[in-house]
Amino acid sequence: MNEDYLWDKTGSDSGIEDLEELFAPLRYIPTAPPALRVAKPAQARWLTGWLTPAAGLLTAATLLLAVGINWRVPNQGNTSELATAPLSVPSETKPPMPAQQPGPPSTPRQIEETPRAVTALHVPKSRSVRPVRTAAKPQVVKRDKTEITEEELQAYQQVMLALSIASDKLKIVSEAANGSEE
Amino acid sequence: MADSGFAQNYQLVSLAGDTVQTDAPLPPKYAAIVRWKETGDEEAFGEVYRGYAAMVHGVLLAKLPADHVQDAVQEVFLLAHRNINKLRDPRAFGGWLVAIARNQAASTYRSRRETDEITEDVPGREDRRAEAAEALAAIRSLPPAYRETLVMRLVEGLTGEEIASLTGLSPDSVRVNLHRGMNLLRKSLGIGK
Repeated sequence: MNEDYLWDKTGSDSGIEDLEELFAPLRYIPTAPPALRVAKPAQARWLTGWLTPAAGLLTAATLLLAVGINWRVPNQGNTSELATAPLSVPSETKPPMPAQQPGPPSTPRQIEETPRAVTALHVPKSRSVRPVRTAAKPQVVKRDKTEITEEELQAYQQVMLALSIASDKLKIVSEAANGSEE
Repeated sequence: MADSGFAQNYQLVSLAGDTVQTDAPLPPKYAAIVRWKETGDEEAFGEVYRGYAAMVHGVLLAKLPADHVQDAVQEVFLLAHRNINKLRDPRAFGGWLVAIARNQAASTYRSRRETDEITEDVPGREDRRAEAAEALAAIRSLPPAYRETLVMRLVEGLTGEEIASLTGLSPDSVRVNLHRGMNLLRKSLGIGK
C-alpha cells in the first residue's frame, strides 16, 4: 500500500485507485446551499404552530371552567346557599352548637365563652369550630369535599391539566423566542 | 469583520476542558464563518457550505443509506445556521459541524427505521451504485474511528490534510485512522496485501 497516495494522492496505488473508482457513484455532487430565507419563516411557522394550539387550549380550559361552574348551579337545590357557600370547605365540619347548651360547663373558661359565641363577637382560634350567630337563623349546610361528584372532579382535573399543558407550551415558546433573538 | 470581537476574543477549549484566552489572529480561512455568524450573511453561509458540504456528506454517508444523504446534508447546514450563535470559537467549527452531522445521521436513521423507510440501493437497479453501496457496507462495519475518515478519503476524494483541516482532527490522527482503516477494509473486502 502506497502511504503517500493514501495521504495526499501523490504517486499511485492501484488498489486504492480501484476503490476510489468503485465509490465514485456515491460521491457528493455539489448542490446549491439551502436558502436561509426558508429557514427563518420555518422558525416563525414553528412559533405560530405552537401558539395556536396553546391559545386553543387556554380557550378550551376557560370554557370547561365556565361550563363546570354553570353545571354546578342547576344541580344545587338551593341557589342562595351556593352564593353564600365558600369554594373551599373546611375538612372537618362539626354540627352547630345549640344556643343554650345544657349541662354544667367543664371549665370556667367555657362558661365565659358560651354567651360570646352566640353573639359572634369571639372567633375561636380553631377553624374546625364555627361560631353560631343566632339560634333562630336557618343553618347553612356546608358542602363537604365528599359531596363533589365524580364528574365535577374529573372536569376540574381536566381543566388543571389543560392549563398546565398550555403553560408549559407557552414557556417553551417563550424560551425559543428568547433564544432565537439572542 | 475581521476586527470583530468574535474574531479577536475567542476562547480555546483544551482537551482538559479549561478555557484559554488567546490573542492569536484567526487564519483567513475562518473569515466566512465569522461573517456568517456575525451578520447572517447568506453569501458567507454559501461559502462555508461549499467548503464543508463534502465533509458533512462523508460523515452522513458513513451512517445513512446513500439515498437519504443529500437531503440530510442540507438539514445539517440549516441546523448549523440556527445554532451558529452557540459556536464560540470559529476554529472549532469543523468538529462542531461533524457533531451536528452525527446527531442528524442518528436521528434520521432512527426515524427511518421506525417507519421502515430504510432502503439501500437494490442490486440490479444501478449496477455501479449497488456495487459501491455494497463496498460501503464493508466500511460501515469498521470501528467508528475509521469509518468517517475512510469515507471522506475514498468516497469524497479528500486528502488527509483536507480531512484534518475540515474536521479539526490532528493530521497524525487522520494518518493513523487512514492507515489502520485501510488495512481492515482490505481484509474485509478480500483485497490482497
